[in-house]
Amino acid sequence: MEREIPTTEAAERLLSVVRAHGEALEVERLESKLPSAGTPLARGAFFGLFAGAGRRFGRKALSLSEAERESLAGLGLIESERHGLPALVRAALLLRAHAVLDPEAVVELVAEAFEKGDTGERVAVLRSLSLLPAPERFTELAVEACRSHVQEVFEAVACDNPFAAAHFSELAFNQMIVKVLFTEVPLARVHGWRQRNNDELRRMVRDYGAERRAAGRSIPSDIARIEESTT
Amino acid sequence: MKLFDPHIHMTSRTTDDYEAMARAGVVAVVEPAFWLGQPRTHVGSFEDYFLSLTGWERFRASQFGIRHFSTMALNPKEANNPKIARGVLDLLPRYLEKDGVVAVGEIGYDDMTEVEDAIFREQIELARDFDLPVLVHTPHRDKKRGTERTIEVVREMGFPEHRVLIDHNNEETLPLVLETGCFAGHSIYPNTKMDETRMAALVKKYGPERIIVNSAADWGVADALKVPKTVEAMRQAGIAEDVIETIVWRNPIAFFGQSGRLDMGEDSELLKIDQRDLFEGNSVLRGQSPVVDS
Repeated sequence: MEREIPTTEAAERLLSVVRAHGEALEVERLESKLPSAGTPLARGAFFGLFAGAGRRFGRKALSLSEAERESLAGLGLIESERHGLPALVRAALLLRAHAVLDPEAVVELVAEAFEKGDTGERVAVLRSLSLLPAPERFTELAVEACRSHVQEVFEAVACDNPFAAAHFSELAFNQMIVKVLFTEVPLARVHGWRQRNNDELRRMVRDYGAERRAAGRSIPSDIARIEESTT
Repeated sequence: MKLFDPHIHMTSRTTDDYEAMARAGVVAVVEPAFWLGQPRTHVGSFEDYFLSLTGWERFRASQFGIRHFSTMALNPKEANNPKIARGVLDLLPRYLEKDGVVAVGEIGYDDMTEVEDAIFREQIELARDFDLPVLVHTPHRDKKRGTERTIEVVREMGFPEHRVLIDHNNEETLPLVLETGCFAGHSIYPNTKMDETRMAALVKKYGPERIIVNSAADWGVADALKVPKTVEAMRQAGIAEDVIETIVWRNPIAFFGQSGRLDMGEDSELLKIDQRDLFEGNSVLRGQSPVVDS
């Protein structure tokens, strides 16, 4: 990830992708209602845009150019095509809201967008956390999201997202990795697991491997990968 | 034949039902927001219910290859509770914007009180604002009068009749609805409302135009397979396959498709099941082998 990209620039990068790929009428509607500096946030309109983005920008699959992919990766948004344009619209909305709110209100807004979001909205919030200033403020939210039984919500933190490796405690990170193994998500999609690998994680994974062996179940290669790893 | 159950409260049903429905050919459902058998005492309980209709329940359905859509509203029964009514109505603008919400409903009458009337009208206005059709519940008691009043209100408000689905019809109310441009729903129940044989007789008499059937299965004694069972009863009665398909597939799609949000995939392809990444007490599965469609 590039260092210290101002939120205004990050929002602009996202919006340029939205302009290039969204339907013209929807882009125009969005831009006319975007939070902008100097005007208090209209919460109703904000959450309307946030919810409606799935429908208004999600009609077709997103196919990015190499340059766009790099530009988004620079913000910490990996594998954006998987989540489509709505997630980028929602990230831009959060960044723009950040520009008009005080820091406490941002935490509250992000929490509300998550709590009252459907699955797509929740995924978008979780993927946006690293883009917001002082992202460590959102650690509790991301840890809580890892407890979700909706796999997409869990994966929004666990996969293709630098947030957990950067901010999770060892316990939270280890729990996430074990859940990755339980749910058979490819470990390769977990950003930074090698850097955060630790003795306790290896112990947890060895115990899990033993449990599976005792039950006569197979040992997926990702379990072996951690069991055999060294820090 | 692919089937659509356009009214079923899946939050109250088990995964056995989802499996049986999928086996019987049900590929899509609409789950209307309704009451839960016991009055809610907080606005927040409604909000969590709305969240579950657009979140967890959609996800659960997808695990069985079933597309899940919902309708949002303050139901007529709980409209009578002044402690929660205003708060719930104020929630609706946010939830009516959500993906997979294909109508405002269930709205209409229960006891036919003045409060119900005002809230019915207010929610028809919401449907207009959000460009959605409406799903109207008709009361169990004094059903015929309730149906007449429903039609009067729709007409008074100038709401387009083809965007109104009046539900839970019987032999007495169906002719009233068919005289309008509204769609006519029928809830096929084990004991009350309507049964498969009577439904087949109605189809023979009136044909398939704007006719819809559903199970309306909820937390009470009900049968989540009533749509496939009605298909069978209609076949037994000698009704043509094409007529049956219009009732259990084309009509609900035509009606809810008016929302512009009924995403049935390319050419209504079946939703691919992938339970692989869901395992061990962490999902709908409890250690079984996950089902994966190729």
